Amino acid sequence: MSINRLQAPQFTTSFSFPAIAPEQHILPNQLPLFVINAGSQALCKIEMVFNAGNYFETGVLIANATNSLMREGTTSKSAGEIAELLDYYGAFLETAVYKDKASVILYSLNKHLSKTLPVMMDIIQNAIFPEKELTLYKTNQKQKFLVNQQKVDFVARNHFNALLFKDTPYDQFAEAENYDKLTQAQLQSFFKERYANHASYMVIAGNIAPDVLNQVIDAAGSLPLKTESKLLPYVNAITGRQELFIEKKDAMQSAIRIGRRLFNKNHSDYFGMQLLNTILGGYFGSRLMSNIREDKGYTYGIGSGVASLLHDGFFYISTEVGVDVTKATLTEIYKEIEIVQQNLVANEELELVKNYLLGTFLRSVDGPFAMSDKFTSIKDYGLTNEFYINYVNYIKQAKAEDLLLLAQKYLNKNDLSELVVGKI
Amino acid sequence: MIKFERFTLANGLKVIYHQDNATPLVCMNILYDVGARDEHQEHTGFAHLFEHLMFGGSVNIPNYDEPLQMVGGENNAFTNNDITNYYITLPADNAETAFWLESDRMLSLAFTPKSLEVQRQVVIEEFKQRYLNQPYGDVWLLLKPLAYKVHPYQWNTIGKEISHIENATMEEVKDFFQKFYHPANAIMVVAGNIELEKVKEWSEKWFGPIAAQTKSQRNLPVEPLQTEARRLVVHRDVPANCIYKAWHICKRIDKEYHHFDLISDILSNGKSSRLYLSLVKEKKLFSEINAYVSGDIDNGLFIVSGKLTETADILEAEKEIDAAVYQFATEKLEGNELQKVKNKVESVLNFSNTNVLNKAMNLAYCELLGDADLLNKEEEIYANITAEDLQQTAKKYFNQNNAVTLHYLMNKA
Repeated sequence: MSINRLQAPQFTTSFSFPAIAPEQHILPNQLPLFVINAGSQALCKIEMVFNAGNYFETGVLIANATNSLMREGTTSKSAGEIAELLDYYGAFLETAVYKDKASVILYSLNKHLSKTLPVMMDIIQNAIFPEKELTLYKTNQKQKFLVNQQKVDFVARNHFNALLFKDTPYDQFAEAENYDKLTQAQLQSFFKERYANHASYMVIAGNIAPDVLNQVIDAAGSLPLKTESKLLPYVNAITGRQELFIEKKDAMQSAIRIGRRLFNKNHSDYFGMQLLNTILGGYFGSRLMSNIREDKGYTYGIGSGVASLLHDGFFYISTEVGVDVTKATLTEIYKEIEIVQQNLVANEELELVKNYLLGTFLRSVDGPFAMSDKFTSIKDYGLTNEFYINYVNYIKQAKAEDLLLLAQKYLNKNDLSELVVGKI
Repeated sequence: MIKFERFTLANGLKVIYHQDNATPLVCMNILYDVGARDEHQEHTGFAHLFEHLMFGGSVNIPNYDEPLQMVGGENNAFTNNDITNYYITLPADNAETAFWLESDRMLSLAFTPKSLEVQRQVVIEEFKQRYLNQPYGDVWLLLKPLAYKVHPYQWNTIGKEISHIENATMEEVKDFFQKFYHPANAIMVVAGNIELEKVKEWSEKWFGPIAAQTKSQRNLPVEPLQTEARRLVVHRDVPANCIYKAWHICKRIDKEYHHFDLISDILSNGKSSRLYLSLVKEKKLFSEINAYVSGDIDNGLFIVSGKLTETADILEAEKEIDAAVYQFATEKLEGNELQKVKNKVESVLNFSNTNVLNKAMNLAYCELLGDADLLNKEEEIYANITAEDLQQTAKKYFNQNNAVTLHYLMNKA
């Protein structure tokens, strides 16, 4: 059989996407529980979400330290006993802090859930933050910070954030001495206000057999729960273009960040900016990658993104490049931005990026764990599966003219801040 | 239990098929049996550079990525000491595109000079970003040549030095392709929401016409037994002292590999592990410490590495590592520690099998080791390991003459 290798096989883009609409239960204590029952392995992921992100902290690092140290001792169990129980039953307990929220996540085989779930419940309700665990945390995290401080990328991320979000609760980042200043009382008080009795909602995903569901309902439904949640006001103080250069004399590469404050998922231009961002720097074949990596070889990677915060959002371009080509890279980045502001994206490129995004969305909802991530990332914004339906529809019908207008509206150099860490 | 089917095309390409109808995707994973160990010692970093060139267009398809993105697919690849592994995930309905793309680059590359020039630069930037412009980034560039004097594991996948990458020629690129990129040197796994008949049909259609070639025999120098402890001390501009200590161990397919894996778990997996409890929490000698096996196909390494706290003395810290490691030889494991790490392995294997791409990669790698079904046997292999097994293996390998130590110290102020 002779085949024509010049001819690509036929393809389709009418994928059927699963709805991100978990089954909802309201537990006796009013805690909302969302269930995603899929997958063949007898295991599950249990996530409890709290309004306990950096946004709420009363001092730098308090949200992170509280979240990390919850597992290091409760009123009835020592740090060692907790670790031994989780390890013995092959469970993984992850804690995470974001700008707005915080999570405690348990991964467990279903057959061990009766042993592992009570540990998780104990931690989120009864953590005590022993002094010796805090001391150890301070010493070791400070050292880790000092190591990170030598990485241009780490320094750039922190300072860029501060540059964009100056004088808002999102502008915080740690310096070495902040570790020394943490106190037990700060963590205990943050825990009391934001974790104990203050769970926001819960998501379980995996192979959720009836006995698994019952165990979760029993354990979480009996937590004492206060429903009031103190939400702080947000001052949106938009700043114009700012430039910052942080020199590192011995650097071989410079880290570059260019970007601006934007908006979050609730904004009508959010989908459009996602699409425009993808074309500019959001995938391997993007304009920035094609030019700065694949044509010039200045970098191992360059990317851009549109990130959402509960009260705000931002657009950023980020890369690490050889110090000798730092200036040239900046020039090329602005050149690419001007091109999307001046020229319509060609049909073929637009079609490719649309198809790529539809495929990416399909990958992002594959399996129960992926679906639970997809769910929490809209739940926090008060959105439902309709958001994803609208997203898919937007991508399918978006036009090059729409993107040109967005680029002209949001990507003016006067509004973009620029940070270089390294050498110019 | 990961069920699979296996067939071989007339040209020698091995194909493994695994059905998973819960996913809307199909994964294609192609493993080429070539890694950094197959490089010439004056031309290191080549297997990895070559991986980059595999994205520079093939004989009939000028751009690899675009047609894949057009059908909603995504791809990546990695190179290590032993293998070069390429993978695609794409919507199941468009699976044939993966067969088309991968078969064309197995057939032949475009070999454009521009691609070589640019990827050479990209890899040099990768060398800087990951190994030179990072605190502790050069640890493995120091440790591997200390551990291996003869075997090609003495260099890293990225290469010994930037000049080797700078000097790569198009002639070498073509020779490398000729030698290693052909059906008999590859294992292809197709996994996901697709029928066996389709996989057979498209494998024949797209890969069948590629000419057969004999798989070249590997003849690598065997690393002689180390008979004397080796040590290296370096000073760098870093904020904390570090220690790396490695012992030569067995091959990935040897039964002792699993013993070392469990020993490393007992030492450092989780907050109830021995080294964390004794050296981080109690004695406060380390801010972090880890034990792990390299998992190489040829004789690998068992490594313990850690960052010291400000006040810790490096020699005392090393003594504590030695004591913890040698204890496995002198004392048989008691209590529930063995069961604990077995439970953890069971859990990790189960969680890893929730992802179709993981399954595809693991099947390919197990097939390279000798049998894709090893993936299904792992859980039982671990379950049957006894305390005696661990002690015997520890006795055989854990001694100072077999150890390599790197002290990576702060510059004195």
